[in-house]
Amino acid sequence: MDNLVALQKTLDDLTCYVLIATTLAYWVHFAFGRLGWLGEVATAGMVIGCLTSAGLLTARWLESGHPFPVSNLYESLFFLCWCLTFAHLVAEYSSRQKVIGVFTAPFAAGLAAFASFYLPVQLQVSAPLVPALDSNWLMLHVSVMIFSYGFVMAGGATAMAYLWVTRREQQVELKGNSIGSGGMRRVEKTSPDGGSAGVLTMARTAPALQMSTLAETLDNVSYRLIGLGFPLLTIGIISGAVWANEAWGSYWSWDPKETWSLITWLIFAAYLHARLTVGWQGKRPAILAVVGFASVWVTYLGVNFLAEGLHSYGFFLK
Amino acid sequence: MALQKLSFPEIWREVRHEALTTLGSLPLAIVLFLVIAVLSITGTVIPQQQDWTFYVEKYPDKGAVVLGFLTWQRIIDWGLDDVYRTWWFIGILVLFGTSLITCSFLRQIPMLKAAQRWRYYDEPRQLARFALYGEVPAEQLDELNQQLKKKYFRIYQEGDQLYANRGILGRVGPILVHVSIILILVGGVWGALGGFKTQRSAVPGDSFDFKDLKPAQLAFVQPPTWRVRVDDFRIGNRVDGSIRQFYSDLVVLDAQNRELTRKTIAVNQPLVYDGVTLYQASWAVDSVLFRFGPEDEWVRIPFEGLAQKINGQETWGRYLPLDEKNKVGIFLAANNLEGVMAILYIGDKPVETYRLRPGVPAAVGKTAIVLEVKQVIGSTGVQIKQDPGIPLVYLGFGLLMVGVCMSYVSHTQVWALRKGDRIYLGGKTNRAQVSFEREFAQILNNLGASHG
Repeated sequence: MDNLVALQKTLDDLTCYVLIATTLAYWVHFAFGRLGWLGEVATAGMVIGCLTSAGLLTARWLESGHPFPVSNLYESLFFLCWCLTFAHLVAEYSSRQKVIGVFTAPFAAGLAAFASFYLPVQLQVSAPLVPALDSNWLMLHVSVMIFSYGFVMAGGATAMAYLWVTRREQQVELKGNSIGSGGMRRVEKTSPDGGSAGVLTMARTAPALQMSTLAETLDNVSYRLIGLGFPLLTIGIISGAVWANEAWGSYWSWDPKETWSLITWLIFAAYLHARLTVGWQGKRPAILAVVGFASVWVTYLGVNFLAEGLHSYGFFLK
Repeated sequence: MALQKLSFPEIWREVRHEALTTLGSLPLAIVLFLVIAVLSITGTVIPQQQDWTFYVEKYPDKGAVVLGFLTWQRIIDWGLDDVYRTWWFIGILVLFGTSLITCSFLRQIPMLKAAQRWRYYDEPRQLARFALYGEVPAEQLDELNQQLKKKYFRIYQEGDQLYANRGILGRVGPILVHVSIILILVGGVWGALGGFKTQRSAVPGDSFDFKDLKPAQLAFVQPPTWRVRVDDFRIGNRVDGSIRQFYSDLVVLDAQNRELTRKTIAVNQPLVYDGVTLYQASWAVDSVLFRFGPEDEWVRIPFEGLAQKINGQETWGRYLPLDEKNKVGIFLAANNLEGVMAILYIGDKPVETYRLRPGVPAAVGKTAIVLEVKQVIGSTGVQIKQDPGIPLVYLGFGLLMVGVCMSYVSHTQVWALRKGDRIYLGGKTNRAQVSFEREFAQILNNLGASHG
């Protein structure tokens, strides 16, 4: 038992410092002209952060004997930290673009630092569940919810990377949407600086296979991450509603946390529909994704400043 | 005049077409999403369903007016004290539902049909229009077939022409999502009209029935004729004293006092009987059995909720004057069923605090008074609910989860045409652009795409 507690402390510190270093690595890498090795260091840092936070949660699980360690704010912060690093790695792998890390890493590091340095020690220890939360639904509801936060946050961060990459461009066309209007060949344009630097060409095929540009890739990966997070968010909200109905007879009671999860859901629904709309192409969906990103943070933490309720993590910050 | 030539049915057709197109349009959907989101925010910022005095205090109409315009009169007039039940909020939800239905018929179903309709191409230039396009040697047609089959494509081939697709589920998903949201909205309305929800509290030995349910709550439902007796209420603690669970022993009785069923309910473990669900919702300290000395009779002293919390927990109590001039008194307070805290007051000042438990009395100073408690009696708060909309809502929930997951699937199509010594290949997908590009490039490489 004591070994497990000591191990948790070590992993907690390690996750924190590694992710802060990772953030710096991503930033320096992009601030000073892509130092090849530093980018690899940053990715390795993300992998280590993902593993150490997973290790911390495992140790906590073995210690507490809860079905899953998501019973208080400290545990949920580290769980979200793990989800975000995991979603980042999925995004970085599938897009082959490290620039996403510039935006995901500081948030992952922030989550770990908040849990580790800011939360009072008595809130960090594993605590028994209050009667309202003592249910098998807890594991399903909270873990799916936080998993969805991780994915839509990574999607929102990728949208930030997209807005960053296209900050000098006026008009951008998008490819991925459920109509599939982006499947046609675009007219070759030369970019203002003369070259077509972003266009990856397949030299071996003739005529050149038209691959996505950096911006298009980021946009599509952002769309796919949100596309994955959105069903999870839906399942998370529904599991909460079903639990609430089974436990106290009301599947929806407009409690602030519930309402904010719905607000987040609506914003991402608007995002998904904006991609279908001719007049809403370009950067607007990405801006909606960033608004959704902010809304996730309000849902996850901000609501606790607004009101008390079943979702208030006990006595958080009051 | 041109206008007079239009018959009424024609005008109606025109107006209807215009109205439906607007209703089912995407910009309207996006605006509705965001409007509902913004209106919902107001209800999380302004505390809801409080007494009007609360708003008078928090949102004054003189002096420091919140945001410069948000006075309590406006809050009450606009319904911001109960946003989610105002006519305008429900009106927007109805508009949202109407837009959903219209969109499904006007856009989604035609789109699904269009996606299922496909044709072979017979000119290479038709294929070259696709963003993803390549050429491979003519002898590779069988190999192409194999490659696509391995990647779970459904393949149609006629001579030199080939069409393959994958993930048509991704086109069905959004329709299912729309249908399921309609089900949830309808189920919600049905539950609100055809069900009831009420709270009852009772101490062990008491019973409650449903004869006094207000008619407004019973638009389409008959209240239960049976009643419920509470046999016991207790709190289960952990070793460290924290609360593990609340338990109420409930017995359902018919008019002739015959037992119909019984169950010990707890938080997260309700009793379901006759379509009605009884939940352990709350509790209170109802009273204590108390006396001032071994010679006294036990007196039942009713407690009431105190405004002040003790140790952050809700607390109940009562003040007992000990003399006629009301100078000396005992304040009894409890926040659990284990014991009572007794505070001796002289004048307005607390002088001494005693902790009383059953069997653990306390003598007051040098007087003959011995404070003694026999039992702390708790009352259980039960929430009772009947909701006929639940099956519909749950069906909607289930379909929504399935539909939203299906909507992740990317609908991918590939065309191929063999002409001369080449196979011309074109492909497109609606969602997973980046990963399909890689897949497409890989297929071309595997088939030995010609070098440019």
